[in-house]
Amino acid sequence: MNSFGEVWFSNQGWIAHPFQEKTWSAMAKGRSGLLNAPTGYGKTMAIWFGVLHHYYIQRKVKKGKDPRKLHALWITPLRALSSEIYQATKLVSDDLALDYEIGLRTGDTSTKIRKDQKKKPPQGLLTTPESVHILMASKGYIDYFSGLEFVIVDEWHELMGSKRGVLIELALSRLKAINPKLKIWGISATIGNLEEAKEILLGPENRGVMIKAAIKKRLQIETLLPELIERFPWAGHLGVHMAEKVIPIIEQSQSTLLFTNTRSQAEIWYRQLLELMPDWAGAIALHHGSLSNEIRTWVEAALHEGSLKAVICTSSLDLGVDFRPVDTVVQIGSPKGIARFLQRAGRSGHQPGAMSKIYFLPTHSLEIMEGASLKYAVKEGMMERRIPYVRSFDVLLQYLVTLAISEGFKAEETYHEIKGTHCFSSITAEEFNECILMITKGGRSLGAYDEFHKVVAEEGIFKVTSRRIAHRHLLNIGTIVSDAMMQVKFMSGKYLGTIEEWFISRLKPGDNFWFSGRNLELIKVREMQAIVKNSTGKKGAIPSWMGGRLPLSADLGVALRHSMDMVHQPITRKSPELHFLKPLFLKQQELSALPEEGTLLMESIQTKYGYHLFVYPFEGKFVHEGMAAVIAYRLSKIKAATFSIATNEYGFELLSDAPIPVEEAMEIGLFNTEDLMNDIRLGINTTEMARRRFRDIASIAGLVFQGYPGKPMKTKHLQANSSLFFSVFEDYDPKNLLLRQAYDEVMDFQLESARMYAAFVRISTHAINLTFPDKLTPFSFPIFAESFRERYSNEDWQTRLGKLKDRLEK
Amino acid sequence: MDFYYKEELIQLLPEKVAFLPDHGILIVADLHLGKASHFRKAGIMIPLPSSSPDLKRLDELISALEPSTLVFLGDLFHSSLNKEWEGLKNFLSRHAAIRFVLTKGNHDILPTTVMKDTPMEIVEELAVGEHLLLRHEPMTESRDEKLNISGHIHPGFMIKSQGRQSFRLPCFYLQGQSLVLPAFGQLTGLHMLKKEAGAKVFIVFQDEVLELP
Repeated sequence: MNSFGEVWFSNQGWIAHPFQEKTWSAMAKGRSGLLNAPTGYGKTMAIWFGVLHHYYIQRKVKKGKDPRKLHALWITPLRALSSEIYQATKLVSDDLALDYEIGLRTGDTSTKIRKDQKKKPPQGLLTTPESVHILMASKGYIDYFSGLEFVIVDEWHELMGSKRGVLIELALSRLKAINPKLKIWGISATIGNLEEAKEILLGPENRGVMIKAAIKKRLQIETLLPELIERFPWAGHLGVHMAEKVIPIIEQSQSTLLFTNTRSQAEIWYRQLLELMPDWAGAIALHHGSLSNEIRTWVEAALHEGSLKAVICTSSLDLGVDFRPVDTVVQIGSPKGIARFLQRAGRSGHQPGAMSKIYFLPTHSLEIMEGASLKYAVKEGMMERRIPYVRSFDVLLQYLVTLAISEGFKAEETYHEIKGTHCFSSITAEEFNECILMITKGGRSLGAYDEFHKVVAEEGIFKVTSRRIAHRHLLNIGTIVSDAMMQVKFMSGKYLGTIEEWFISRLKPGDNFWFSGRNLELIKVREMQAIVKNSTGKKGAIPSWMGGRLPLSADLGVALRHSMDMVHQPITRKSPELHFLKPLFLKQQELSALPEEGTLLMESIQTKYGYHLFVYPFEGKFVHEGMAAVIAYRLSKIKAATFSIATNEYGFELLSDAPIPVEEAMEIGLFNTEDLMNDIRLGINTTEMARRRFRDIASIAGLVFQGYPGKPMKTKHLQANSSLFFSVFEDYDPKNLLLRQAYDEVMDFQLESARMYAAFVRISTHAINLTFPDKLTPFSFPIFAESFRERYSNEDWQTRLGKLKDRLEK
Repeated sequence: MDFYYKEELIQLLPEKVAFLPDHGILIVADLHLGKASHFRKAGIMIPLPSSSPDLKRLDELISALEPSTLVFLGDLFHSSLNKEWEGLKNFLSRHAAIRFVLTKGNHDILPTTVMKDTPMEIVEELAVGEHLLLRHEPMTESRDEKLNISGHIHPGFMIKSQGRQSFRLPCFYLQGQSLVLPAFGQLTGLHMLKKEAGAKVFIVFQDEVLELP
């Protein structure tokens, strides 16, 4: 079987899992595949011994005469994960006294080590998707990768749903061309489309094997219920009033992770817990994506040692390294998705066989339902799909220039290679030519010759000849686009983290704000740095970081609708959540009605604010936003009107100053799927959405230079914001591929048009239960209370601006 | 939007220019011509229309207002010599009857020999009448009670409206003896300003300039 694996496992006194043995044997047969196993059960070793085995067999055959070449490439999404795997695999080489050397190459690796790795490659290299592309941007990469036998992509489920997944698909298309015998292995957590994940990674021509570790992690979910439902708010999303409930849990556990959905919520919770338990200072910590690397690394190390009682964190700790001392997880507020909830639950109980324990802490009354829905979804094994990006021309353009920097590429050859990827399987020769045109002539030919030459063709080989362009491109490789961020620093120069520029711009020197769990006073702003000092104050603003608002997943929506339907069954104590909510449901029923599977509940209510229409499709915020705009559009066709729109995860509200002709509209068919796409186009202002999407696209495609990481921009004279580019493209090159991509991404990811369409199809078969409550109901109130509102009318930007102008004139 | 500084009438137009009808002077700030070519030279793929849309808009303004003098308030040309320079020279010769003046800006780095090869007068600043002084950068202290009309800053203002919407719009910014014009060029960004005490902000809408109350 696998001599190395067997020796090492028996030395440790362990027995290999069947999935590990299956993987070893599949790898020995030269197969590719996807391994699906939970963290903490030795998936790294399942793959690693397969790699070692292959290497030494092959060396025996060749009698070790070849010069040493890179043998295996292990790609992970996180530096921290790379270092963990580095430690684990190096340990194996040391334990078994093997000469299989392992190198680590991430953004932190020094230039000297990188050079050594280049000159004398280790057999195994651990790295990130971006680093692979940087390697491909250096001369001699074809020779460097010529002996490559294995590519292992770790946490593929995570990478697949982002443009980093496209980076991997492109890199693999090249590596496969260099070495047709290349074996590809993915490691993935459970997702709804595992089979598709395998196909995308391996490619259509390579069937590969799927190995599933039949290990069920034991999981216990408990919803934290407030004392009294009457005192529990109908709306809100912070949940701090429940902080006291969490204290005994933290006390009883060895180490607890508390997950919040946003960075500002994490800051607020940290402060709240310290206020309740002042002597926990030093025993609890904060971890989120805007804190400096130094702080985060410190928190992670302390978690490893078990010296922290609790850490309040965001998705920053979703992935990666296992913290063995963590035995309890608390999810504050809706996790929005089943997979994310399970992933977070899996951060506890890492000792094999241990139970993962997760508490769900709802932030308002209706959210308590999600506790029941999550339990149902987990029991039924429901799981979200990861939607891969397709036709990401921004990444393709970047990749083409990357190839042009190093060895150059031939158009025909590269077209053939990328056509084999999932992302670009539908690209036409015409579209590919347009990409070539963009990097050689700067776009569709606009007549006269000018000085544009990023990439030039020399005897059929496309190359970058300018060193300046090459240098700038190298710094721009990758698909993670960051906002205009300000560095927060002490006078001494100590770096705390980053805050969005617009937040700081609202503060004056002397103002206080909370960041990194400290109360800070702003001293001054210098270029892109906010200089601060510690303050003893208790007041201060809490920064909110843009983005990060995720919608409820489709699958959790299904589970939620199921729980909603359970309400019609006799409610027993078997479902503590439903039992607890009984009074609320009774109230809802008294005022209006309860939603039911197969019917759609709508409420028409008149208040002093105007005429409200509430609709409850339970499809998640994004879908509701689009749906609300379409419904508003259809209603306004009957009678011209302007609506204010509010949405939450459960439903949406249209508010108008005149009666809404609902019944009339229902006769015509408010939820018809006929003409739906047309109504989406006419009803939703996709231009503004596309303009926002274009920001990342422009940056990835190299239109906007991101600058040196952490350093202020030196190429100011080459700066123009992406919005400007967007307008210029709209005016002079409306068919531009990047522009079209922006609109496609809006449809696919912002409006989730496929999901919206499915929701319309579902609802169009439903009976509609329209009620007329005389006041706001428990279901409608949280939507009504949403602070973020959008206006809808048939008017475009200019007309809206015209109205604004009128207000100014008054 | 009309306003008077002493007896001088100054018209602020939604085309992002100022017009002095009594002198027949049209004032245009920060065209940044040649910026697209400059970007393209650095490998940034931005479409380049065969003739500059900014100059086209200027053509239209000239035929509507019939000025006798056109003053460029600096940053006329963004970079070193490129194809778009020819477009500018054509523009100048199209309007041979007009006196062109450029108050030099920090981006106008073309060598004097090239600059002199045009009918433009190139000056540091230009006095108009008794009360107006035109130059590229706003002065920190005003001289002789004169109103200093300048560019350089690309002023913009963010207006908030209901439903948490906000609009970033170009503006004219008047404070004390300084009037800053919005940038005329299409490829220019906005530098957001706040309304300081005593300042007046004139917002440029599509078809009108309005003072912020």
